[in-house]
Amino acid sequence: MTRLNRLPRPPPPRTGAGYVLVGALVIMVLVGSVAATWLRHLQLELGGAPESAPVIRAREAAESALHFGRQTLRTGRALGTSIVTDGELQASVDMADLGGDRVSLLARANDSSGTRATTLVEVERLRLVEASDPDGLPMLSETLAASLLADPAVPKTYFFSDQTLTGVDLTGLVVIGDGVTVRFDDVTISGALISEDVLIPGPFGGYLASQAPRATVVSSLRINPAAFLPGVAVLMPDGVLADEAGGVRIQLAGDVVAHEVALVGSGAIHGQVASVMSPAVDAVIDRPGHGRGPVAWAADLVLGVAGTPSLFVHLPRLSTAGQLGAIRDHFAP
Amino acid sequence: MTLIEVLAASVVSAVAVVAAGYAMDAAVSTRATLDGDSVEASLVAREVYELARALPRAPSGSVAARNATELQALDSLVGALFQPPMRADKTRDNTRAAWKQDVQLELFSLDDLQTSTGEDPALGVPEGAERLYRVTVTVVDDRGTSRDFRWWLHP
Repeated sequence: MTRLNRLPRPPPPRTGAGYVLVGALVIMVLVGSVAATWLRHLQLELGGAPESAPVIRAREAAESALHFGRQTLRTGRALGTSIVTDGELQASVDMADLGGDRVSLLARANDSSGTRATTLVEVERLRLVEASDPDGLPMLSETLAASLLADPAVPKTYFFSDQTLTGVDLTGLVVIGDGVTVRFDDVTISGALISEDVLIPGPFGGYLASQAPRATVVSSLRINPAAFLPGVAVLMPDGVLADEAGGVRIQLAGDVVAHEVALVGSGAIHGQVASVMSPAVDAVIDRPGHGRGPVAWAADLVLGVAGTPSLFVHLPRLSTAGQLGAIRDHFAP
Repeated sequence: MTLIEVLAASVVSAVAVVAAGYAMDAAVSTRATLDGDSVEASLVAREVYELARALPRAPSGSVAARNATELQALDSLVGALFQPPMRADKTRDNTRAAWKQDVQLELFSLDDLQTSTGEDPALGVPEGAERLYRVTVTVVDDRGTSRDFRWWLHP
């Protein structure tokens, strides 16, 4: 029997169906990937668009949080970082003293995606004097008061009993004791008029009318502040500055601080007036610069901590921390 | 079709399914961004906030305002209801006649912004008080959808 040699079976013809399937699927993946990438891009773009709702909410939460910063300045609370939540979004307010009367308020609001809005405001504070007693009024620091008291180059004239000064020129500190009334009749002071307790360390305590030092202008009083206490004309937080009758003339070339200020007459006050009682200053008395904007206080006076924002600089939205640093460096190098 | 071809096809199919799912998720998120939280409602609410900022703080005695005439001071916004919505310039937004703005004011201490002090905002507080007003504006659109928007406001 002859054994036939079998030829190997030829492989089945390739139809190419598998490659077509793979090719179709690859195209599907490519198209799907492109679509997914585009939609993701669209999603991110809309999420970060200025007009999208989450961004608007975050931005307004940051703006809203600035009211907290404003009230913090207004009430004289300590600066720092605070969390402000309105029940839905949470914002943080960073308040930093930039020196002088400048403060930065940085408000950031977050939503579930993280920080979405940042608002940076630079504030120029205008110091407020809202005193309900003598201790709330501007004062000298205890250090300065002690140095003035000890300085022999600063003449001091004390009045511990009621007196009337007529046609006198005084130099240095004119000190009126507790419960003493000094009447000024054509007097010039090159220095400052102060109450006795200004030179004594410690608080004034409550105001007692019977113990108040009183400076009463009879005809005319001129005070020109001296170099040892520039810009300060009258400093009697526990006292009264008044005139005895109409027709007096005053020229006060510095700040006036007293528990009560009541001046009817003519002349000029070239400085701030602060008092516990509402000051009664005749409209005829000229007050250069008064009412036209912030006027600086004498540098040696210690004011309270409360202040109100007088100037806002609203900086544009920030994109990076580096930009924030650059802006801060620009304002506070 | 060989085993290798089948495996390759399976991998490619899996990738395609994942890509499609991801695309659908992104599409849904995009739609939510567009429609889920209405920009329009927030802008309608903001008109009241802008209005509140400009109103005098000293109480007027006219509370729960319903129209521009009754809007005299901040206390007028306590319980105020406007339909059509009120704009910041005290004019009506008649293009959204069916929309409503429901306004509430509360007072909070600077020390605790979570819990209202319970003080009556209609009585006002001094400018230097350690308080903040919280203005809540509930906007109801023409489909009846209600959304709340809140802002802080200094005395």
